[in-house]
Amino acid sequence: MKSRMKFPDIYSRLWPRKKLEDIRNRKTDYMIRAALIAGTALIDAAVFLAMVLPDLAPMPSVTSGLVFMIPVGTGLLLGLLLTAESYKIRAISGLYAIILSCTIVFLTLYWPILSGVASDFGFYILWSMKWIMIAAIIITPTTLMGVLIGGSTAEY
Amino acid sequence: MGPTTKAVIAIYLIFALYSGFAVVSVAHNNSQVISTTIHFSASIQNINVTYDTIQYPDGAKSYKNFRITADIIMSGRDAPLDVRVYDVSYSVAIMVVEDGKMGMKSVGSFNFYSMADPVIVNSGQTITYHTTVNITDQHFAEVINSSYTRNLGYWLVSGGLNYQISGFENLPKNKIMLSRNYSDAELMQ
Repeated sequence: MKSRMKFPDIYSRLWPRKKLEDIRNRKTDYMIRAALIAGTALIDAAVFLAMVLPDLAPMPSVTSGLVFMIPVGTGLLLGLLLTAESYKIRAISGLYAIILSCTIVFLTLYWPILSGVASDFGFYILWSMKWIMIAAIIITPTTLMGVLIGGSTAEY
Repeated sequence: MGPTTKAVIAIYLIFALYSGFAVVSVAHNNSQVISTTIHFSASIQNINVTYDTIQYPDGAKSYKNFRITADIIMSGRDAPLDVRVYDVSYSVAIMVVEDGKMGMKSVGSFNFYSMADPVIVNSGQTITYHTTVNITDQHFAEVINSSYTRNLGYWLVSGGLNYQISGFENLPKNKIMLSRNYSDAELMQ
């Protein structure tokens, strides 16, 4: 009588259930972290743009004080909400948010040039360059400070 | 992750979505406003100057009662947004030719047209606005001397037109400079 051949369960040995769950959880964590970074960058950029071009933004008027306070607040929330992450990951997330925020400000202010509307509008190129540099100067220290304060508070 | 954290993240992401909408809106509006500023144009055409000449017994002449008419052509060609024109202003200077040398004498002080209702120049439209200036209080006689050969021409200089882009009334008013050089035919008329 022929005995039935039994295949070894390689799949479950290679990818045990626990490991699969770990991967899934890590994926969710990555997605949440990416969403929080993108959210922080968008809020910082929108507030800055509402200060630079108040008549073109569908937002209530933003004072210069808010431009400094809101990146600190969003950084603080980013640091607090990434509770599961290490201190290093929080700081790196803050840096990603800053880079993304400055990129959004750059793309928004340069949109008329990139879309070819104001390609030979020299005055506008200089004007937007100035505001992009100011955005980097304001958003970088404030957001980073918020992330570090939020991170230390969460650790504590 | 607790329910409070989840709720905070959800609210935070809603704010982020609203901010994203604001960012896209700023980029779009900025492009539209800049495009309108670039494409909206204005110029002065069909200038006509009339005046009365007074001949004195010693051969000297003087000129007075200037009436200057001009058409301001405003064009919103290729401009994506409508434009509201509030006022037009220009000054007029007379060119005087004395013994082959040219000099310039200002006839009018700054003449200002404040439009009772703003003229709306729609996207793709061209509007002609007719203006008339009457200068009766200035007697253009001090340069006149019978020993010279002279002619009067005219030259319109340093004009301006203030406008705003419809839908963005809080933006500062833009200005277009209007100027026109004289031509020999006009000068020697």
